[in-house]
Amino acid sequence: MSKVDTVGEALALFVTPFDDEPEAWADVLRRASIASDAAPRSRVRRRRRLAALVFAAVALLTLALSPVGGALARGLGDFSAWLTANPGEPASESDQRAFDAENERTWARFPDGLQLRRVIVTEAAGGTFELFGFRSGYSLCLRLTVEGIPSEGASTGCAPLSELRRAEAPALALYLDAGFGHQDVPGTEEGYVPPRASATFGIVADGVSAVALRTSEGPVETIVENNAFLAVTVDPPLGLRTKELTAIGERGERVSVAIAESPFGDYGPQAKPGVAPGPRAVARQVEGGHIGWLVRRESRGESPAEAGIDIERFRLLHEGELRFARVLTPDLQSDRRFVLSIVHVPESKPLPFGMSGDFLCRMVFARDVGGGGCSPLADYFSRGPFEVGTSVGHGGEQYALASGVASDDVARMELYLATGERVAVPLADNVYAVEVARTKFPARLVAYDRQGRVIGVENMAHDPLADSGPRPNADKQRIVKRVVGASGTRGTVRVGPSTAGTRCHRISFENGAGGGGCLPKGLEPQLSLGVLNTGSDSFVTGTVADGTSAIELRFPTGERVVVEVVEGVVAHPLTPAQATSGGPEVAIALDSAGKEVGRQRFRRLPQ
Amino acid sequence: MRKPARGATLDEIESIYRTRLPDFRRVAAAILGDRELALDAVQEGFALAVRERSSFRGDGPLEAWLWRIIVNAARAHLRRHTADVDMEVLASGNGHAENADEQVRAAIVLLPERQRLVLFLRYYADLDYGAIATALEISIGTVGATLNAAHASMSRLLEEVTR
Repeated sequence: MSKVDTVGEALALFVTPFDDEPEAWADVLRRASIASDAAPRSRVRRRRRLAALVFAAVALLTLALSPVGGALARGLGDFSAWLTANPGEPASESDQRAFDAENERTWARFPDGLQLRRVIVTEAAGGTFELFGFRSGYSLCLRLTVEGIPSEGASTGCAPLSELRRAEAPALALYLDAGFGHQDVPGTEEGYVPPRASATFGIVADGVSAVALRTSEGPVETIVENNAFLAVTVDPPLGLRTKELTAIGERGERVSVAIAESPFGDYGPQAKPGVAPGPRAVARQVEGGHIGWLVRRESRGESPAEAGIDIERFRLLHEGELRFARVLTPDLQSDRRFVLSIVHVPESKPLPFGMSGDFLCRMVFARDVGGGGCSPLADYFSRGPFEVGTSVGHGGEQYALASGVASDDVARMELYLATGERVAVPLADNVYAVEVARTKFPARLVAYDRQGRVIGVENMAHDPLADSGPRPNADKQRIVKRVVGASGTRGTVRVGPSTAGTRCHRISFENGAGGGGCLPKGLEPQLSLGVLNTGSDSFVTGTVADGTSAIELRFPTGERVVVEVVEGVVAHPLTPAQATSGGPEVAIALDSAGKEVGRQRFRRLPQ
Repeated sequence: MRKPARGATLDEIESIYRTRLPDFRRVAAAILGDRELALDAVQEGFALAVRERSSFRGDGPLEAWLWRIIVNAARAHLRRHTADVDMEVLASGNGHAENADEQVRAAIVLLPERQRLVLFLRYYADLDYGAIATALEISIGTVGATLNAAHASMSRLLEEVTR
């Protein structure tokens, strides 16, 4: 093997100079569709020209055959306005200052110095809506603010620039159905109140002159200016959702644009069936991975103090002692930050199941998203060389964040999308984060070792906000029971058929807590009960199989309570005394004759 | 007030094209891992620059603006072509110097993308930090930090592969 001592030597070997290749300025002008007055001063070799022509023919054929290409071929253009220029006009100083101040306050902030561009301004519902655009590293973002309507703040939607370059359609939705303010009407039993205005926005290519947007209530007028679009619906009905988006060219050409619907209430959009492309099996089995720099306590990234993160307030696993923590940013130009920490749990104060020792905790912060977890350090990579979590900040955002931690065995990672696209995943200091278009699930994350062998595969079956399997038939869900907790928390029990004809149930509390699902008939467990804490009240909730008429709850105090079953669902409030004593120990399923037909032990509540 | 675009002339662009073409091609080849595709990407990039020359704002040097376009054109090529040029192909050195050690290539390919781009622009194009910052749309401070990180990573990787 040759010895390479310096970075310069390595780069010199990597790509040798191009000194012998002729120039081709005339070819540049031809491609730019500008006639050259002067004769070309030199000629490209014939082989090269042929290659270029073959490429051009293939490219044109590809454009003509693909739906996207079809749009581009019809002259709707691409997103170069957003990639290489700055549509709109600079934001006012006050708008820029407001953005900078808000950005400064968040941990997962964009880099300093971003310049907002105002692209659309409109008045609606007594408020002024302003849509701003900005590029941040590898992302393009639109931010919608409103003045004159009391609301919780701006809505920001982003897309990776790579998505713009791949240009699958001449328009790209960045945020659907952002709600601003509230209408002065009574809320639903679950506490839902329709917003004063609902807005959908995104970007368009140069050749798009209009955007047709259809919601669940019908078409909505859409403004198209400065390579962006904005639709604002005033006083929308509760649950209004954008259903279709169509880009329209100057000559009336219409191109359908894929969108990922935002969920409403308890139900998300139906997951798309399909199998993600890419490797399904590993070529090399990796076990017992670790993160060397973490074990050696190297000062990668920033300390929590340097990053301005109050680690004691937000660190996980408060039962243990924080031994080490670093804040990492796999993509310096993004708003995503990770906190990796080592927490030691002494044997004298073990966690449930007797767990103690060193734990690796990871938290990820991104715009509107935060979360994490801990696992024993020694076993962290026992199931594979990387782990993955997916999250979406708001239901209207079009991109999910797939992120996680990878062991030292992983040299690089790739994302395979349902469309066949392959995306390199930013990976640095053993943490990674990549945006996945919600319209492009199912997707697959693949990890490679330094020899390029596949060592890890994680399938992401569907959009994290979508429901797989049968969904409740929304029009046929009936309220079969209402329940009130000891402190007044109200809840409802709904049952009804699914779209596949099976039985669904949903238990919803006014503060948003609840649960439910749809199970094929005959597959319901005899007893599937749990204790749900809504914050101020606790309830025993769950389902039972056919043939169970009532439930007897047995408490450690010796107290026994018989609870009714309504259409296979249980929702029963606990008294403060029952809750503080740790909840029920056992549930006994009883048939109509009072005979025991099943039994379930509960995990005890903390006392 | 929005600063009006200064615009660039055809002559200015052509002058830089003729002066710096080998460097543009070398950087594009490093990004794409393919010399033929690099030739095409540079031509496409300059064609785009010619078409969009009126939008050049004049905030920085014209050459830095052109570097941004060429880098983006090469990266767009990388994503568009042949299910993209597989990183394994890059690592195997298709179209690269015949006597280069494959593991040295792999060491470069394994760097994060931004570190690779900063290295390419620094070594192959001899750009200063300001021009690199403009070309990659990052801050000058980030250029320095990224270059340092790239050097450290490369040195470590080279040490490992030549050990």
